[in-house]
Amino acid sequence: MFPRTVQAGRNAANSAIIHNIVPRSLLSTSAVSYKAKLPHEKLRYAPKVDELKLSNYTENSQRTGVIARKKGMTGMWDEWGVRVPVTVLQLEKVQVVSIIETSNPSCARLQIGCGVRKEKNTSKPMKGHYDAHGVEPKAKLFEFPISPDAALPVGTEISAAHFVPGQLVDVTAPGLGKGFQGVMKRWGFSGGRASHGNSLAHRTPGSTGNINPGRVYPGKKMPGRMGGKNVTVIRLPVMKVDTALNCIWVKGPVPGHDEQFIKVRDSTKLIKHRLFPEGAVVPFPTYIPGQSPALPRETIAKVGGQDPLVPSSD
Amino acid sequence: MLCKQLLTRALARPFFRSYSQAHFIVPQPQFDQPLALPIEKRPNVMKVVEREAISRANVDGRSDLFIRRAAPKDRLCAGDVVSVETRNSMADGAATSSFTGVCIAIYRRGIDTSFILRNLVQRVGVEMRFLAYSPLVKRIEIVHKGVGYRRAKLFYLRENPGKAFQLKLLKKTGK
Repeated sequence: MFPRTVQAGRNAANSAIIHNIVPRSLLSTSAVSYKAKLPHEKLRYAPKVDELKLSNYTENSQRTGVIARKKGMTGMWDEWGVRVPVTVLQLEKVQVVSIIETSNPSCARLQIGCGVRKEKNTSKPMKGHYDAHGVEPKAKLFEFPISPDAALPVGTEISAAHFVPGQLVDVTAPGLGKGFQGVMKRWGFSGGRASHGNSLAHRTPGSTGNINPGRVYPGKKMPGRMGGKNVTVIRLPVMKVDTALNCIWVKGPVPGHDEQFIKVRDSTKLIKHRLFPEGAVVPFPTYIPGQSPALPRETIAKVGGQDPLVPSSD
Repeated sequence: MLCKQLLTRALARPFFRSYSQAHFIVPQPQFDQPLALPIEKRPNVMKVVEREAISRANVDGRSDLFIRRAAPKDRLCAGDVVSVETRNSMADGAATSSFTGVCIAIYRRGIDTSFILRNLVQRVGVEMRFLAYSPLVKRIEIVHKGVGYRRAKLFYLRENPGKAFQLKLLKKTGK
């Protein structure tokens, strides 16, 4: 359908005439992107952002996420006196390390780094990567997809005030490893009878297939290593933002152990929920200390709604 | 020059003058600096968080009741007759309920410190567990110090009520 690609060279013009190749300028954008398959011809886009400036948050915007450290769990009481279990996530020197180039101009990606890594523990390739972007070596790197208007310049420090108390976040981290586990714990099988003559088959999987096809399907649920995989918990409300300790409190438990790196980002799966509370000033693209309105050190989410301790009049 | 000074001062002031209109709540009292001891050079986040939370919840000095090292006469002990007044809801400050009973257990867990009171209500044994630092708990008062209790947890009182639940003593303590 499309003519063969032409290698750039001295005889390019002659080759174009002989092989009847359409000049690039006349091709449609879709054709251009289809043609550009070779590494040196691949089109890469990255949002250009030189200065850190506040802008307006729109519904189609996607802010960057953040890497935080799970510090532990505690409890707090909301405005109605209801106890809420919370996980404390601390942001440790979270910076934008680089802007990743993507093949689609409407999709951008930021590489975020968190924590501190000693120079002697940083490999040479990674040292070169950090030096190229002028950032101290980080303990953990992760990429977050963003909309191009939410791009941040390299080296921007993201603080806890990036999050708004009352907003919903998705939290991703490797869950706790459970080791080699049986079928009842791993897959929720019922096991066998406890008594009534059951012989040695109280926690076994039972049958693993039928006489036809006479084999066990690949992927059959069987005992094996459980846990240690990435788990995402969605729509956790941010209950409190503490700018001095640089930590956010999210409601409920978070996967993984203490001191683990947790990826936190604005919730995306929101059909019936609001991402930000009403009247919230969304720090977009992030909270900039000089430009964003000054906030008190600690801000707690307003839960709102009706008083749950007062029986509703029906 | 004066304009610049005014501008910087205006920008330095907090954005929200009254936090009642804001979408968030500012906890009172505010700690501008994290509550860390002078010894702690790199304070542990969870310790600081707990310290601040208890300091905020300790409106009437109730945390003195739970200091393990304090003298028995100053702290809450298992066996004390305690009266707790609780708010029915945060909205209505006047509506309160109260419960009096023998403290049979104390759980010292930082901000989740709690204790269990046991009493006979219409000849039915009732135990209530109160979280000491909950905003719904209005007042904790030791009505009568327990004497002669040699355990930290008095769960045996469920089977052997003992003198504390004899009518005469209950009448004396006013419940």
